[in-house]
Amino acid sequence: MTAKPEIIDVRVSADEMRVVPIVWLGEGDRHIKARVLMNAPGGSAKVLCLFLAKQGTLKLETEVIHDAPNTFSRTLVKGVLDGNAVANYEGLVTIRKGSKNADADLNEHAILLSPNARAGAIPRLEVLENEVKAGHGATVGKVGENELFYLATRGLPRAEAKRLIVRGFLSAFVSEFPKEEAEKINAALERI
Amino acid sequence: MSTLTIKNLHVTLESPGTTALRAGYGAGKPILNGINLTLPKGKTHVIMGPNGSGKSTLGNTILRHPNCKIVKGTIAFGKNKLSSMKTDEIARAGVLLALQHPQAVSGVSVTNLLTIAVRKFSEKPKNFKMAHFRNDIKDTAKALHMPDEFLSRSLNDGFSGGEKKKMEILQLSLLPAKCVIIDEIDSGLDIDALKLVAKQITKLRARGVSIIIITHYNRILRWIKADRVHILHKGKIIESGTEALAKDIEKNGYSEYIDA
Repeated sequence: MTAKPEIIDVRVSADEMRVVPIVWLGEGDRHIKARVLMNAPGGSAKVLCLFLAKQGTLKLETEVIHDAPNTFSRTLVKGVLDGNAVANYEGLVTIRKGSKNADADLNEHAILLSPNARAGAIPRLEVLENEVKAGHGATVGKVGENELFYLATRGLPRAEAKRLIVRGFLSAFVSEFPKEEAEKINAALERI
Repeated sequence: MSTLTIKNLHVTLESPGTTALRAGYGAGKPILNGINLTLPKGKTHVIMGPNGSGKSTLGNTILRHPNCKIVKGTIAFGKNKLSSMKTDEIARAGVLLALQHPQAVSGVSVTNLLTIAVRKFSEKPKNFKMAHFRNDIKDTAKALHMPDEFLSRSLNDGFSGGEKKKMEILQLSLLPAKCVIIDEIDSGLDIDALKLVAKQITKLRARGVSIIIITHYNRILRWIKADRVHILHKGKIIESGTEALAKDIEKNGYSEYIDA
């Protein structure tokens, strides 16, 4: 693991909409720390992280801070791990006092394709204001035998069925990314 | 000529918990205890039986579900020895299964799945063209009174019981099937939907496809002609006959056969 984390630091202005895209395609070990501060009213931020890897380790930390009224954030982390790839995620959303009508959501969903792949998720919410909406969730699952059997009964070999499930799992999410990142991800999806 | 031949088939269920295989059975429990069945090309056989008699396990075993372990016996379709083939190879040999509880596949539409699947089959329909195939998907959906949106939504995701069953028949109608096993397609269907589904099955029959219909009820036989009816009980076929047998069961139940 590289010692020095990559830092992404974003400040969202009043009524601004920001997308913070993070992509890891197993190109090497990475440690990424993203911090998004919303201290002006009406700001909105989407922190999108997608990982798709066969090897290597990702350590990802995201922190979204609501420090103004009517701020909106979505943190969505979605990934597929094969081989011996590892992804550890810590996500934090803080809603500070005075951030009335803040709306925050934090989610991680990962699929493991091999018994040696691992995904960890620690989502945290710290809410210090009452009039807010906030939610979080995390799931880590395997591609199920029943799903693979179903697709096999339509003539799809196992590898092909897995590929279809992975693409299905990620495709809608990819379209939320800016063009440059989406192209990279789609190229990687072609290779699996 | 491809005949489906099942000889002295003994099957145990290895890991329970999946609804399609009737949760509640212990691991390694014997479910099928010596099934013999010959389904000649183009014939329609019906398998009836009380709950837990092994009907779904038989269908799942023909397609080699990983939980169904063949302990003894063989399954063959023409020259293909299904009992030593993988599920996807069996499907591509033209033996297809409509599942009792079809799986939801998130992010994958039926159009998506069918256009990928059909390329895998070596024997395609005559003059196969993908553009025509896409039209066929739409036409078949229309024949089943399914709105177009079902063709682009995630397959079976949030579908009602009836919609799932229609989706199964749609897929079986479009892939190059030679022999289909249809597992409880009639449960969860209202009478109008059942008629539409039966119409598709009749079309398959007219194409010379061999058909096994697994069911609890006689009612689907109002619209489909069966060549033979078998009663399965405790993993064995205990009685075989004509459609009259199915009518008799509807009237008198299984007890007469089971107690015998």
